Amino acid sequence: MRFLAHRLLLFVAALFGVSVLVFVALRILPGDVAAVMAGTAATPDRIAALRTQFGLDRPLITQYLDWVGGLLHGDLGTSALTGRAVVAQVGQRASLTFPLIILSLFIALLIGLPLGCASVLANGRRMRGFLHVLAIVGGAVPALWSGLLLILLFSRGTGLIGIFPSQGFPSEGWHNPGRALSSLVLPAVATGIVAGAGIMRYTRAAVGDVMDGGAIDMAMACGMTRTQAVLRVGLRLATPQLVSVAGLTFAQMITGVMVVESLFALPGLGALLIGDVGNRDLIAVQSELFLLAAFFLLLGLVIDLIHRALDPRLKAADATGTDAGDGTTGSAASKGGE
Amino acid sequence: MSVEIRGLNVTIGGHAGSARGGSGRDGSGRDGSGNAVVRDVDLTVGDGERVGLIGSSGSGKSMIAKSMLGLLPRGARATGSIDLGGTEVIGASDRTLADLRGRYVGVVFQNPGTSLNPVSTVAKQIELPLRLHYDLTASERRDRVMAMLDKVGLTADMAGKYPHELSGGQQQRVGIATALITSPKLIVADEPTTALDSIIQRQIVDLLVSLVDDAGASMLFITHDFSVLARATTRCYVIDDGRVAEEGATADLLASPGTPVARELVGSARRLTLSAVGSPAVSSTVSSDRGGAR
Repeated sequence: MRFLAHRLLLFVAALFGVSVLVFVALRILPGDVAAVMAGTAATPDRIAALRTQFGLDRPLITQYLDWVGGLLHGDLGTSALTGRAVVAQVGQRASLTFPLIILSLFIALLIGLPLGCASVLANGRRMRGFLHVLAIVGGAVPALWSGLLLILLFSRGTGLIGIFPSQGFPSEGWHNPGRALSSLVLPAVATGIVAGAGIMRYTRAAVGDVMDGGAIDMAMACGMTRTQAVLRVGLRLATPQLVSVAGLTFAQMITGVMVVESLFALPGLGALLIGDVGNRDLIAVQSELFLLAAFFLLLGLVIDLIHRALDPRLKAADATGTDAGDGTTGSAASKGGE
Repeated sequence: MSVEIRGLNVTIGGHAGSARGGSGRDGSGRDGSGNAVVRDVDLTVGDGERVGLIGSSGSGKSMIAKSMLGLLPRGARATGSIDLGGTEVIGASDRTLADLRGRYVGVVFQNPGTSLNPVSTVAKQIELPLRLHYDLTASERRDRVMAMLDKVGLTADMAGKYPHELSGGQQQRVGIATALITSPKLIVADEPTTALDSIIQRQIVDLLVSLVDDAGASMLFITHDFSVLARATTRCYVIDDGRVAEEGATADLLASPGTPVARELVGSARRLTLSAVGSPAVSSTVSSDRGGAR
């Protein structure tokens, strides 16, 4: 509980820091926010009107508190371009981007984990070499190119085998889950292949490290075959590292899928952010950047908690660090004679 | 269970692939098929006999044990014949070897700190061979684990602890309990006391010997310390540069070592430890490690 409270406190402090950073960055950059939003051809009256409309004529601290107060109530402001609430815009785009990322990550894990373990288990030099080359090639293929290839092979209409739609997302969104999901398959595979190659390399390295330790020999000495020991003990011991890799991959994909979203004409978060920056909708950009940063922080917190749940040694390390001053930890065994 | 090894050779590297660790010799005798780390070794262990393998670090003794267990590192290759109670190990399938290990052959490793699964509790670690080889209910397994904990001198509350919460001696007791939980017919102890201080060494050796004798099992005890070997075995082989340099009754070898390597090992043991074994401080050592987890 103490660890959780400590991490939550750090999380909140980091959120506060991020909010200040995003707010200040957009205010101290050269140029008047209202002038930038109004565009180069705007009259001074129009700029003044915008400044009043968005409260930019108030003191900075008031603006900041107003913005943060809105964030706490789920109000991310209103887009100057569309007049819609930013939270609604982000929510709509996130309902596409996040399922795409989750599906991509699922495919990446489906590719990376078994092939990574196979690399460790492979006895023959040729098989190990083949899997090594596969990991390098898979990681080197740009998602744009593999996406084009997938469109040529599997898209309805133009593909060799027309199975999946290759452009756009259903206007009714997830009301028809089958259609929505099928429109995400090709972009998810394109992203998942690249990420899967990375996860394969990490899996091979992480499980390989465990193989050099004694726990695998011990498991085999208890009666496991080598394959069982790798899958049941090696993979388990490598899980904390792999969770970190999966978390980082997830975070990278939030911006990394922009290219694929663009290729498959998917109106995702990336397109929204690029559009808002291009259209100088800085109020929306401010909230969107904050949300992205907050999500990365949340991901870090979740990974930390998962690590702790997976590895009991971390609890002991924390306890030793916390209790080092009162001398109650770590001495019992030596008192016991061993 | 009897062991009969005939003409055992182990090579690392060469055509079989690159080594992944192993006994770490610096490899004289390299040829086209890799480094020979064990050369033409003949060795026997009779039913209920306690036999020692002694040699300096890197002499190849651990590789002999790993060959017997089918645990050679990737890139290492064994040839010759190893008969474990009627089963030929060389060339046996991974499944056959897995069926032998844990059930008929128990293994105690050198460093329990790295060999015990860090995310398994003591109880889960000890019951693993039971899970893999026997169809028992959870409560039956639990009963056997508790009985074994008591046998190796650990308290019941340690069942739920993780290896990092135990001292080195307690961890090795868990290792011994894991090796003996299925009442195997052969125990292979690969330098089980090397990572421990001299007082705990003696406790662990005495515990291992008494449990092995009680079970009527055979034991192959590997060490580089004659003082430990003298307590644990009745007969021993001196290994040097991958070959058997000398063999005979442990007491005889200790009294009159015939080869330079044996003389050096005995001399070292006398200088470092044997004089301390008889001292009152050591003799009065009790099993003080019950309880007291970190």
